[in-house]
Amino acid sequence: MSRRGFLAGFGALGIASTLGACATSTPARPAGGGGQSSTALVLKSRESSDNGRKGMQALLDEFAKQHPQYKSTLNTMEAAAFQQQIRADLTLSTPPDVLTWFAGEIASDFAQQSLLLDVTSVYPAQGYSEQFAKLSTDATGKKIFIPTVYYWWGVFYRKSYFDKWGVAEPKTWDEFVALCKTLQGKGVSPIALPLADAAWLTASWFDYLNLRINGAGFHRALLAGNEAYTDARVTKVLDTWKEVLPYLDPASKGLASTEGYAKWQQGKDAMFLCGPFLADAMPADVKDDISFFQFPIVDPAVPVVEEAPLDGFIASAHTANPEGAKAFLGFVATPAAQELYLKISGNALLPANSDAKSPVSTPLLEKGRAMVAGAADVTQFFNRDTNDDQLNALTTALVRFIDEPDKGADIQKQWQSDSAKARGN
Amino acid sequence: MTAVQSRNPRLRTWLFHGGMPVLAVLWLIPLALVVLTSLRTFDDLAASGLASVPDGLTAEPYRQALASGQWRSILNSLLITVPVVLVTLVLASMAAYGLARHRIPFRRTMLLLMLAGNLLPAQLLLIPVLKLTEQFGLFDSLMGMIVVQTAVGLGFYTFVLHGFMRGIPQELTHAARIDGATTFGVYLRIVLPLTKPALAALGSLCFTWTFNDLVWSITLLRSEDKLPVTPAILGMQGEFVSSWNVIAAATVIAAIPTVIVFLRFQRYFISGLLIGSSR
Repeated sequence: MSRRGFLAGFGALGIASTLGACATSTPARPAGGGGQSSTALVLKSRESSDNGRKGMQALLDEFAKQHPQYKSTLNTMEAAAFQQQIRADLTLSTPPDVLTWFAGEIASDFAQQSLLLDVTSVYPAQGYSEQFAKLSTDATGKKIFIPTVYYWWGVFYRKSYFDKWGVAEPKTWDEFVALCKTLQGKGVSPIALPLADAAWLTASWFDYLNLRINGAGFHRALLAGNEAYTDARVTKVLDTWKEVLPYLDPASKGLASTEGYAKWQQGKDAMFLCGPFLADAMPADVKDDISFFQFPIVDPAVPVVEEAPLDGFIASAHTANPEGAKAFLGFVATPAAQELYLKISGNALLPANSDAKSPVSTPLLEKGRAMVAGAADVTQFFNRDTNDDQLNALTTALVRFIDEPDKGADIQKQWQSDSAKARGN
Repeated sequence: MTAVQSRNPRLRTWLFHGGMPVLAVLWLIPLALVVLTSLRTFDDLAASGLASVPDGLTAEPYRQALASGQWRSILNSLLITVPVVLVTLVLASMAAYGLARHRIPFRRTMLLLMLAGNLLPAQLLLIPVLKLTEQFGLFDSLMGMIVVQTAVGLGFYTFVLHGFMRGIPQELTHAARIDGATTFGVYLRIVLPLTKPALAALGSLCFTWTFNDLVWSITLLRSEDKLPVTPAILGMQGEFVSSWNVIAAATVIAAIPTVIVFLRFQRYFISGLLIGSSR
């Protein structure tokens, strides 16, 4: 083809595509507000994994069967971008009608700015525990969040490897430290903590040690800014953590989270403080081989608290289709919808509605459910109980602590100042 | 080093020919790794890690990437990129011609303003532009993306073309004028043909930048069926776990259009930018 011919073809393609672009640029739906009602229902989801996407689509399909008057669309956005977009999304003149979100401070914050639809009318009277109901309620007593699934955190290991090494689950912190020592003696790296793209994982260690040593009351006060990170009780948390720092995989800092999961799967790292999601993409035979133990007890006098992050849906206050949004949120609150999602997505999560059963009940799921049910109290996770700015202050402090465990006092001072600054903004 | 060079030109050649392959290999390793990753199964990757000998090769990740709607996102990318490139080149060349060959008042100020606009980081503009497109009804539409991407790039392309057109001998345009050509005729018949190398070079640059843009598309687009290829690939990552092989395959596929454009316009790319600078 001659150059001229190529350029001409290129030009024709351009004109054709300009026209095409014009045709597709007509607004898909009328702008909402002012009592106008639309039948379109857009679900914006951050479940971008293949399984999660299928699960969400299944929910929408089932919803469409029960409510044929609404035309629903699924929009999936990668989780980090989703999190950046959500504030802008909720203030758009045509916002997504319903969105996936999680319980905690950020949802309360949105509610305070009147960005969330009041869904009290569709919140089921039965089925949700008191804790979940509290997490779904804003400061004025309105329900603004519908919980659908939750998971738990624990120290995950592979049963076959524990058998091979001849070790057993520890119950207390001292047993845990001894186990780390034994494993290291056998040439196995005891603890996985990949930090290259997941420095937030350090928050799980801080949360758990703080909960085990100082209890939920102090933890919440600290996260709310009513206590300082320079407190002696935080020093104690760091000192306790210091005992196991030598047992972290020395390559941790350079590993991406997916590489960390893989290394743990291969048995190169023995234990991983994580959620059950670490095994989501692993082959079935590995999934059957996975177990976890409860984060070891440090001080038996402190009531046992577990982290049980709760996921669900919110609806935008400015939706053009409030009736449809409420109908959808009412639908996902039902046991049938939660079972459907778990069945299709196949992820290791527990349904939030206690009337719902796990479609495939595995020993792992039952162990997780029992552990959360037996806890005196539950927390969400550091950034869910505060926000991402506070999480940044934490990761800066803790990643530095891993490098310089003797500079604890300096680090705490810096942490307190970072945290206060983030709160000031 | 200079002493070695001047005394022994043969050694210099040897150093060059010895050093370049090493650099080239270093440069190519990540690319080769991506292609290799895209041909492996996820279980293989997870079980033995990225830096391992593959169990076997498979085209399955490519099938998965295309099955998950990558065709559509590539089409969207082209629907945005091609009009942006064409409109940008037409508008920028017209503006550059006007500013370079006519005594327009404040022409220097305008040019500096265009350059200054380019120095603003895009992040500063995100929210205001989002609100603007919402008001004009262009939010979440391919048309909006085309308008914004064109507007954002225009200053830079005008600036470069202005420099290039100033290098075209005045005699040529004067001669055409004497022969009776209008201003537009001079632009169309004299300036544009002479600017072709620069246009081709800028066109391929513009194509790459627009095609690879992520920031604007995740700001201005919301519907999944309108997303171009970069956010679509981003969307293939799970929150906690990502299928590396499928993402690698999608990345390889997404690179194909830019590679084709670059190969096609390669010679202009080097000569075009050099001519502009040497005058």
